[in-house]
Amino acid sequence: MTSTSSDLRFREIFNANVAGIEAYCRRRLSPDAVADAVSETFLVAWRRIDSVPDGHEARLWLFGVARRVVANVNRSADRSERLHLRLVHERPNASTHTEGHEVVLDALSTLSDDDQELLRLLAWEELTHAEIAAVLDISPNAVGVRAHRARQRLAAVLDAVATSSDPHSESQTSTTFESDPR
Amino acid sequence: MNDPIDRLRAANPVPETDPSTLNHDRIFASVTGADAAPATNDRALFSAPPTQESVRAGSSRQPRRGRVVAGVAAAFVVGAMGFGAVSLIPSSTPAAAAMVQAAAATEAADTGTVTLGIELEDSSDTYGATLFSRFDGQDFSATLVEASGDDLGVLPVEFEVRVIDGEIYVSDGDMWVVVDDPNVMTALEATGFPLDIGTASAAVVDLVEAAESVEEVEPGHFRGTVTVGEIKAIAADHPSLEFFVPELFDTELDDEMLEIDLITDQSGAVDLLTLNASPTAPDGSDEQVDATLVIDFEDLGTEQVIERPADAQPLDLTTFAD
Repeated sequence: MTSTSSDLRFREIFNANVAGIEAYCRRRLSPDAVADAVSETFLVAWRRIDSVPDGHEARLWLFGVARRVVANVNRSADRSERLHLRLVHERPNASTHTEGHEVVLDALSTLSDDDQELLRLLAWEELTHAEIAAVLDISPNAVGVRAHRARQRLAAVLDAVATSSDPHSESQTSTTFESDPR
Repeated sequence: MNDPIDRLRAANPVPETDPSTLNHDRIFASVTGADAAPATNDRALFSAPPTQESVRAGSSRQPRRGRVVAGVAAAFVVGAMGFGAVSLIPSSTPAAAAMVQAAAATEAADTGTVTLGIELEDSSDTYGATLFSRFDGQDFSATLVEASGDDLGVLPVEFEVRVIDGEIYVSDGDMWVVVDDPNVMTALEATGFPLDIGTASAAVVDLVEAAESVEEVEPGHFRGTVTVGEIKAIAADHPSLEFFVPELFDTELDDEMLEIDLITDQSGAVDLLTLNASPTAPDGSDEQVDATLVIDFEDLGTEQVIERPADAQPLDLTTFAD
């Protein structure tokens, strides 16, 4: 591919996907880390333009890159910063969230990183199992099995919270969330 | 709104309608102004581009039927059960060694759960089944969770078998029966039951030891290839699997390549293993089958309480005879 056609193709890919990648990063990072993560994601695409597939698959490819960029950002942060970055405590539009949303996001944060990302891709990016499989580089069947189990785990945590917050509940278990040790 | 996915969707911190907070033109300029030569660390940030096949949810491939399905299904059954040892193939690369090490770590557990998912596609339909198993030493519980097909939809199934202290209990979801006929246990043992998780995990060790061209596609995610013939070798090395081999395997399929993916958990043990195959028909026709087997290990080392059903009724074989 010539330089000019590569430039044009990158422009098309950028324009078509930058909003989606920005939203992806904003859902997972603190506001001050978003711009760098978006830039790094598209920098990989710019340098590897011949590896970027065409059409809708370019979006999935970019999600795959952004996932690794976000993981790198989170890995490089120290523990206290990572805690600070938890979505539940630092959502850019937290004012729009109800207490119910806080409960769901808290519950999500107790799951393993893999489960969290799969459920986010399902609910927030609204990807199909086949699309998630492409992003995570696993089989659609594996996505199906994992999604089934992650959904059950999230439901179990939410049920436990509902039970513990019920004043008529006898168990009165603690509402403290504990991270999935896996 | 009780569905956890619906609740999570509602809690999306950045809905699609949310306005952008970034200057996209500035980002574009900074990216395209950078050195266009690939950076050495870029490779870690992307994988092979998804293909049309990899994102295809439907069935657009060519027809696939008959003995191809039977052969691959048999390979998967054997792969899933995978008893016995296969001659060890030296792990020639660090990735292959790490893959085998992960499998060996799983083999050491004697309690945990395993979800087995099998999916087969033919020319017009997709068939799937999910089996959930719990292991606690020699005690064992297997539940057929659901079966699905394009023609059938998703069928919830509650068929469950429990083996506790050598006694077999079976439920159809409504009632439990206890099978105390020694001939039944003998028949089950001949086909490899009851399983313990170490034996099941030994299959994984065998499979990954047989894998070739192993690479670590991302941290903790290994990929390699095995052939139907190699899986047959694993099966043939254990007497209980000879039952499966002669009838179902076709030697023409021996060279068919299956892709094996293994993902490790944070402790380094196997978390998920998948086998994928898309063999062509041996007779030169354009028939083809897509087959996927998923083995998902969870809660390894965690005690599983497998309870003896309190109200199990003795199985009266004369009822069936009548």
